[in-house]
Amino acid sequence: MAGAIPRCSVRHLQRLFGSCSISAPVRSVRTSSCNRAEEIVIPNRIPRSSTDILEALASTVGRDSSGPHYKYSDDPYLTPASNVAKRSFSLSKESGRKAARWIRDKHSDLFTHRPEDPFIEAFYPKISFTDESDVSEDTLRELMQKCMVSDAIQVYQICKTKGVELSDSVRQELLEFLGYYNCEDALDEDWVEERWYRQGIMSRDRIRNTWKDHGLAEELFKSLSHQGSPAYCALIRGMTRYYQVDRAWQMYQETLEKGIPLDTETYNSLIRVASLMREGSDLRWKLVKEILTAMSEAGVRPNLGTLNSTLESLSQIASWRQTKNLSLQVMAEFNRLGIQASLASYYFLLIIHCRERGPISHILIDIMNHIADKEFSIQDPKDTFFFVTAMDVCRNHLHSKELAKRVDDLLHTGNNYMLIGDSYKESIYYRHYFALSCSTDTVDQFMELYNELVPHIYTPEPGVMEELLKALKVHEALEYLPQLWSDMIVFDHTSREKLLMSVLSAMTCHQPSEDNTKLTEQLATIAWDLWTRVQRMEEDRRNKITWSGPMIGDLLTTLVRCGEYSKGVEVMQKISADPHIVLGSATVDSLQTLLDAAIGNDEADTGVMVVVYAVDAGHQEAADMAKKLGSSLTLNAEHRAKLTSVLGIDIIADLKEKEISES
Amino acid sequence: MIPVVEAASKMSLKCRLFSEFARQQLFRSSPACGLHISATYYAESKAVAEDEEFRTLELGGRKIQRRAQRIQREMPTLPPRYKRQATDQDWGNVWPAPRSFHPATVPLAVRQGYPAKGQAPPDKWGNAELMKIPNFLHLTPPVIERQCEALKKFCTPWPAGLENTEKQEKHFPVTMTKSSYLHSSPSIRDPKSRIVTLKVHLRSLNLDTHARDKLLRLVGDRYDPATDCLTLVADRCPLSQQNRDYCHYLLTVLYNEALKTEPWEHEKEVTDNERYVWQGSPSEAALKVIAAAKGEPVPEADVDKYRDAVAELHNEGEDETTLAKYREAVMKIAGIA
Repeated sequence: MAGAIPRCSVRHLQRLFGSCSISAPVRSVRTSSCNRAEEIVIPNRIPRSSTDILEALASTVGRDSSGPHYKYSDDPYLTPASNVAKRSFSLSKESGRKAARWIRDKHSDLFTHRPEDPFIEAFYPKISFTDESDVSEDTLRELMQKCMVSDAIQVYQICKTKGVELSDSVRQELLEFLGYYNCEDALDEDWVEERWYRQGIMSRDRIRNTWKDHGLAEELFKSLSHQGSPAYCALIRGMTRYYQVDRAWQMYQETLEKGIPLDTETYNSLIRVASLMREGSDLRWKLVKEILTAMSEAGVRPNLGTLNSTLESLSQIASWRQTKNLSLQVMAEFNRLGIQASLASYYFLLIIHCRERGPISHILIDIMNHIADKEFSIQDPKDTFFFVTAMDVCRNHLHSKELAKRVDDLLHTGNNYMLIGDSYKESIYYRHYFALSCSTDTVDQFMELYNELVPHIYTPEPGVMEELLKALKVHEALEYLPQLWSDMIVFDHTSREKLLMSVLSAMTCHQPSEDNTKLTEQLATIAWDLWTRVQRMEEDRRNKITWSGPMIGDLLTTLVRCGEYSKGVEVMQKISADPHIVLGSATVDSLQTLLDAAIGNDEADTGVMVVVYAVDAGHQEAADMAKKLGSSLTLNAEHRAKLTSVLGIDIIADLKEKEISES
Repeated sequence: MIPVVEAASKMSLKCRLFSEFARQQLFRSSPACGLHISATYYAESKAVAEDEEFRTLELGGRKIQRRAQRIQREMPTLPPRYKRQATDQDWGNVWPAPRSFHPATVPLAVRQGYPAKGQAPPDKWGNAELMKIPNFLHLTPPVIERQCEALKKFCTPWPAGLENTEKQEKHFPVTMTKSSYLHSSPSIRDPKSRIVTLKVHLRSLNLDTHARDKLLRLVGDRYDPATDCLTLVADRCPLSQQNRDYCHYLLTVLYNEALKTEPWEHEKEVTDNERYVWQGSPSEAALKVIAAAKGEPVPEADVDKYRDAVAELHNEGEDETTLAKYREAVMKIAGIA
């Protein structure tokens, strides 16, 4: 019998391959060889996406403040420290990427080699559309999916000229698309650095009507066969987004007349711009209430956007006496409806309650009690304003460091740091935190915060640096001054006159003694470095620093007190030779200090130089100084002649008479 | 003599003219860059002014004039990163991923390299050796622990009845192995990822001697006698799924073929045997002759011993132990030992 397969072999093989078959939720294998059936239960694989493992590993890594942000090179020579350098390093890197993209799109015929599998669309030149291209509805949909506004408009025009049939649904989609973007290209999402550094200036200018009247969006609206609710919603929302409030209101009245229902977002957008449609706080609030009533009558459910836009319009009438109560009532009512407030709502509450010229409100404490340790994700564009405003309130309104610490902890829970917004908001946030710490904490605590944040997370601006130096001077914590000076050099603050003045005046508070010789040396080095830096500045620089009298005075005092007498003499010689480099003249105290040192070192030349300078400067004490000099040191004929020429012969003669009379 | 002098003077004249021209260029260049004008220009111009009648003859090469040098603005740099690191810092945050060694970030004073005579090994600054070798600074034990904790949520518990290797083999005798490859390149494909390996122990298969013999002849050197493991490697199809199915098919076919007995298998001859069998061999016949010659039958134990010795000699090969055994067995039979 050829090829007889024993029956048991089939079962045996089934058993062998039993583990390979994929079946029900839990795989179990029954073994036939044993008498009792042993069930091996294999738990199912836990489903995970392609990046879950990476995200899990990334969650184990935190930020280390000893090194720069990951976008910069981690090397002492290549890490930027000053704000200008950080900005230019990241923007220049991005401009390189932009240049690469431009080259790729300009010379698209050179990029035809496509070795990838699967095909990566982002690597290849963008398709440009001409009149001959083969376009259809689907092309239009794809372009809208990719948010390419100008290309979509071009394709639409091509479709029109070619007579390609476009259905109502694609027209509606295109209307919504153009309404959202106002027929203009938005900044590409790939340019993250540009978005990061786009300043708050842009948001300040936005309250201008930029809607394109009778533009493509309205043309599309008219071309729809039937202008129903979606079309009106899209158009009203677009118009309000770009502040064409009059015509938006007109459209709204049309919908009321025609009895067309609107959706929640449209009502929200109308509420948001209500302040622009009326003058007078009570009228504005009346309008908001009207819209809300209309919304409830139409049976449209409010959502988080409704809450935020109501609060936004209230924040624009914040000077009205009823606004505070109204805002709290609004919050309570929406809470009852089960709508959770987002950070934007809290932001609006803060600007309503914590006004500059108003009573102090502790609403931030209640808010923090409510939201501490919670993780937030972006739900409203204005969420990013919360942290900056909260820190501003802590600093200016409440002067509370504990509350600021709580806000900071909230910022660092989970992924909340992403809600800091852009670089401008981040720098303002840290500026407030820093200044608050500077004014409320002890110097040691503050310097701990300084060492943590500076220079990689936050670089202080010149104004903040000035406050810092003042605080150091007030608390007489000059041991931190050398560190601050080296930081100032790295942050490129050494060309600012005010800062140099603060440094010099701080250094005059130092009293050298035996246990702070190191600090004394360091201060002397700083003073001399300051002098050389200013002197080395080229004449035709834009913001060349001119020495002022107090500055030179402080400089001389510091140099002399901290033991660098010879360097002090050098400075004195320079300002004697070229008095025009000093605006005004050195202060009397400094000259007297220098004179005493000269007398101590038995240098009559220097003493005479000082006295001559004092006389030229017009100080009244010059005569006394001359007398002191004359009485302490022996002056030769040349010195006497110099003194006589500037003072008058009396002084020396007086001295001589005194000597004679006393002896 | 004279031509040499003339040539020399011509050369030097040319050089002088050229260098004067170069110097004039220097003078005309923008005052923005700092100029290091050589002092010889003034000296020479003075000399020229004074000695209007005699020109000084200058033989010999001239020093190359320095070109105008731009004064470099010194960029202030930050101190190295390790100075800001606390001794109890979280190292996993500083070095989160594999990275070439960087001396400013690593706070350890490591040295590497062959020391020059009388000196210590080179330190970490600018040390190419330290930068070339792979470092595992991103995998310190606390970091590994942390990463394992983070990955635990993707792991399921080990199934209950599979604690040791015997149980695993009992329930899952077949092992399929496949590799996948990840490249940092535009394409994610790699042809090596289609290769599938199937491993199974022959003791897990229900084979009698004939089937085992036939299977071993069919698979050849895919069987490893040391581990009793049959390995089938499939790479002939473009997809690993196809290769996996092919492995299953191959094992099925081999097993079934091994169990079958073909009608022509009875034609197997003694020389085809895979192992030497003593029964029916010339050696047995010879023993019978010897027994007959001796007159008395040989004891069973000796026969068995002799049989084992001869079989071993043929199957395992000749070496000290097998020869010794054979000698003993023969001596026993001959009655000498």
